[in-house]
Amino acid sequence: MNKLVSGAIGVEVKLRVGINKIHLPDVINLRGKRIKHIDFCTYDNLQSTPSGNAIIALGVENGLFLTMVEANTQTELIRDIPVTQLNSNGNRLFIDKIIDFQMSYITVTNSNTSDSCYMIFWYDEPSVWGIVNMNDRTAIQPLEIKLIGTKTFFKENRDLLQKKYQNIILSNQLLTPNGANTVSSSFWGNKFLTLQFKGLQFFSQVPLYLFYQANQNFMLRLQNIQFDMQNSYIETLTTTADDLNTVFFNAIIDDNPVNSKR
Amino acid sequence: MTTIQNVACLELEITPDEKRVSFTKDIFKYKKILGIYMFRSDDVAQMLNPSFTGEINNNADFGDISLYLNLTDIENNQFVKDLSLSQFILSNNKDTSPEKIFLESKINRVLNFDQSFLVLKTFNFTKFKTLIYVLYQSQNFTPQDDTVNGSITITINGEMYNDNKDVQLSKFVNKELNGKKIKQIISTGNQDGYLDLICKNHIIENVPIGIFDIRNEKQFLLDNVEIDFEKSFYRKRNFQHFNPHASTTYLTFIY
Repeated sequence: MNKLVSGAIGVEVKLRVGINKIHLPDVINLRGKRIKHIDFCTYDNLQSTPSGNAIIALGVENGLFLTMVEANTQTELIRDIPVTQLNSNGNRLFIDKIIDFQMSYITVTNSNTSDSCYMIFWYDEPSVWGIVNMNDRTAIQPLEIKLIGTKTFFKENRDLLQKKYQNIILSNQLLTPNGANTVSSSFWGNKFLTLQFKGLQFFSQVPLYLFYQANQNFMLRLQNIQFDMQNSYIETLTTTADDLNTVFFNAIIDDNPVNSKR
Repeated sequence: MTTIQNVACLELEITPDEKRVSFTKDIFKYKKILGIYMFRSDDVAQMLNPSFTGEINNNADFGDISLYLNLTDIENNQFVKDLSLSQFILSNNKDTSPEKIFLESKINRVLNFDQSFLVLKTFNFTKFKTLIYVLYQSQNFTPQDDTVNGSITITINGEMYNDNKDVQLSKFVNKELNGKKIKQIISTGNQDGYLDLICKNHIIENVPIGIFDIRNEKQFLLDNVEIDFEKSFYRKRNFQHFNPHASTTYLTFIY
């Protein structure tokens, strides 16, 4: 089962021809965060990074191994794990460590590409989350956004104002309840979701496809996080007519009486 | 993982004029609804519904239809608004849908069915037939124990039961299973058809056999039900295509 998370950040790692050890970049927003899970994106799901660089061709990932250094002890507690093991249909490894990103690296066994890897680090931020109990009452609300360009902000939704999110589920139906055409799943591979709260990007450039969960063994679990939807957005790298349709989600939100917790 | 106590099967025929589709049964009154699923046939073929009155639309038909679920509880809170139902669809074909792509439905409320409905959006269709499965609770669940105390597997020979027909389960099951508290059924082989289980204190109505072929984290278990095999039926419903390699159905009853 996936662990509760309060955010996720996408990180691009560009490979270089002839270089067998590529260090991860320093990501300020991940400093000191406890990493719960990692997803490694493959070309069949994601074709470009947010910067527009091509994702490594399918199969290249078989020669990549991730080593992560724990920040506190500076030891390689996770050494040479095949990145393919980070793709597990939602049955994600529970990492539960604070990582020193600059000391962590990818080992490349056949370094003949300069394409990019894209990894998602799901993390915990105790200062923002709320308590989530297994038997909590939840409600489900629609959340939709009509893409109008490379970066489209959500409109404020009164039904979701100040609500605590436990999941955001991407739908793959052709029409929304209002009859608008949706973005086909074949166009999800270059779209990224960023969700902010009080000026901080708790979800930063997370590939849209990761929110489609019917094909996953376990659903995402958000830790009763609030979002400022007007400051949250979806980015798309292409803006064809097929790209600029509506993205429809269902948000699972906490539905307990306000004073029943904390 | 979902533990089944009772299942009601509703056969729906939806026409383009119906933008809102109601679904209910008297038996749901004051019962806690645990989950709601739809059923579709496989990618290429259609399967007759349990009552022989029509064929369930297949995957291709579903592609043009968008369905959204709206639920209101008995305190008149609309707690589910426009839930995309496409991810709560069970399919009967393990060959075309080996991963059983669906989300687990977790409702867990007593519903006001007068205010609960499906919203339909579509490009074009004339008539649409589907099955809605409502999982509900009628008493406290028994403690779960995944120990296999014993199992009996029955074989339903496809050559003998090739036609669409209803057959009493007692024709396949010996008396050893009478009174046993069944905690799981596992199906393998041919998945064409339904199981209609009348149990002591519970009813599991016309569930597609294929749901018992799910053996991952989304599997369906039973709440230690005592099946009356005289009153329970295997309802064979062939696909339009016939797959001779999977003509035999094996059902393993675990207690």
